[in-house]
Amino acid sequence: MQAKFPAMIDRVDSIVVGAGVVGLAIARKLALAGDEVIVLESADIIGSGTSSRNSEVIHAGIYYARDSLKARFCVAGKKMLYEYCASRGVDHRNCGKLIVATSNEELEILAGIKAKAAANGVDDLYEISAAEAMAQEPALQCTGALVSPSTGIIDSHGLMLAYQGEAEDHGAVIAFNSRAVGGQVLADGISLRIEDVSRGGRNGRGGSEMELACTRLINAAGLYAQPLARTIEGLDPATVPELYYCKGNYFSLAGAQPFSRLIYPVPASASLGVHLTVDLGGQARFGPDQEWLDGAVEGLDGEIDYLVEPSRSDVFYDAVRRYYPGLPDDSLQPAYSGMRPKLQRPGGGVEDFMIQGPGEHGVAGLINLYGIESPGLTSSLAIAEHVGTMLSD
Amino acid sequence: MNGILANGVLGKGIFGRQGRSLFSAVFFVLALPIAQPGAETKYNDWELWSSTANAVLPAKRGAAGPFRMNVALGAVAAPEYFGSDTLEAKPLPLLDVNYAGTLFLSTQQGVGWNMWRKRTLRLGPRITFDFGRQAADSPALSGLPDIEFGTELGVFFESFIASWRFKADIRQEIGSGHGGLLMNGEAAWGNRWSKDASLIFGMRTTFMDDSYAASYFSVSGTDATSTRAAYAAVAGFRDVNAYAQLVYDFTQSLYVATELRGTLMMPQAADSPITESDTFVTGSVMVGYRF
Repeated sequence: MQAKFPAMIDRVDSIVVGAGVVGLAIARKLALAGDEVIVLESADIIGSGTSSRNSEVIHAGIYYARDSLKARFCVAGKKMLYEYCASRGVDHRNCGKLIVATSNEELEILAGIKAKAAANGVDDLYEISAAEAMAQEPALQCTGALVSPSTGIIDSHGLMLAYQGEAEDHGAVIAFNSRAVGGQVLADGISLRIEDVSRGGRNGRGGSEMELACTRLINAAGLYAQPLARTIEGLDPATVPELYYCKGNYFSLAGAQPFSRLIYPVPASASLGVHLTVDLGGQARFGPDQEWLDGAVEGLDGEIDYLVEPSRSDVFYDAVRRYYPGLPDDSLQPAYSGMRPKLQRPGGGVEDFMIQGPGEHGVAGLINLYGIESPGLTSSLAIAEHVGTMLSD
Repeated sequence: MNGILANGVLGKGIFGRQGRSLFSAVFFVLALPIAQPGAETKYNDWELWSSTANAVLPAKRGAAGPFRMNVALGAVAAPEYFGSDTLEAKPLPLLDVNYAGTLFLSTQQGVGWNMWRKRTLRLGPRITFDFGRQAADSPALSGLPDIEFGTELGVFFESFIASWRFKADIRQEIGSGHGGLLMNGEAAWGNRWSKDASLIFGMRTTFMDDSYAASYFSVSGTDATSTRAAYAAVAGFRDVNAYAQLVYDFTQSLYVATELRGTLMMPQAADSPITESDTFVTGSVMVGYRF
């Protein structure tokens, strides 16, 4: 149900900011538990940010540091997600993937990846030789490969619609065009100032404002989580981590897709490398790359440039041809891009998800989710479980 | 709804992925020799084809005065948008007003002037309208910019040769709509099934220019997502469709009209990421009255 701006409500049990895949999963969880839930979404549709601009992959949980939130939520979330998709009819396919080494040095990295996966509880990876891999995937060139049988692909929009539908069936209301622009910690909860952006343009000012109080506030605003947190009076700004934006560009492949499974190179520093994925319609695409932004998105008023620069394809051709030498000239076309809300600074080490509750920032009823990038889609149900547990403690 | 008033059809629609089989069914129907050219009739061929701007539903024979009017109301099973695989039922109003065979105002043919009007030919300028497309029309269009209502200026040509009708038109959007140019060509064959029933079979194709293609079928890099990659549509044929229409006259004034139309989208439109089904079949029925 698309609700109009909630002008008549002044207090609710729970507010979730952000109708992306994680926000909707949390709203569903809270609504199923009987909470009165309002989801504030600044856009006029669900999942218009990071949630609709990714590889749509169900990740196995291979790469993440042992006992990290990413590892725990991805492994648990993967199992929950497959079960959820099967039970709710969300389109998905457990197609598996190959992680390919293209040099002898990378073979050693593969061994490390397998060990890291096993430490995370992903114990179904197995190695195959270059000959076996290239026999299974004739277009592939590699020096060896790891097979990840539990990796899959999913209709991310269908998943979000399922979350939305269940949440609404249990009383949740999604308020579109409603941007949280400030907040204040109260004695018995948190109040938010909310702007109706439908009257002031998509990112414009000038829309009417109202205040809405809640007992529990879940900040799942993704790219805007830190800017929103900094506007909450009474929340120590020192608890809000720095946010770095890393754009990921995708290029689609003209013609028939050359592989039966997803093909991943060994990971790069801030991403999983320019990999090949296939959507459920059979369209092959490569990406994402890493394009660190420096001040291009500024707080709540930022306008994100999602345009894919065609000239970036040069880098893609080079990266992809390391494992797919037959990639024809002029076969890559700009497809789409997404933005990662990273806690990792350019050139810095990999950072984990950060989910702060009262134990971290001292504000009762407030949960801030920071740095929810990949594998956020796979982890969505597990993150929602975790948030539900934090709120009930 | 995309241009239902402007495109001169009794309805367009998509029956989802079953479209291909239904499309075949239309052609099967087209092949049936069910018309009876020799049957006694209320109207002659000329009246069948040319009596109103709509040129399908004949006006009342011997109507007094310079005005002829044709009003109808019905329903059409049509797609959420051109290329959608989701069918929805919509009301289908029809109004044709013809003044002295010269000026016409029609929900299907626009507003025009039969500047050149012979017994088997009419030609003239015309204004038609395009209702645009809203992102809210379908979840598949979420996040795409709306295409506003458009006004199209153009010229039309229509000629009749015995049981055959040939139509063509060109129209340029001049308002704040799609901003493009369309060219349509159509051929139809009509005859009597009985003295009360007329049958028409036809084919139609539409060519679009770069601007129209970009408005309706392109996806910009900014609007592209995981499920909707960027796409640049260019000029080309938009679609080819075939139709069968049956008009049954209860009296000289009261009639019922039905139509079945199968559409095949051409590559520039069919390959768009917003196109969910490149074939579809539409059905409509309406009851009308001629004054």
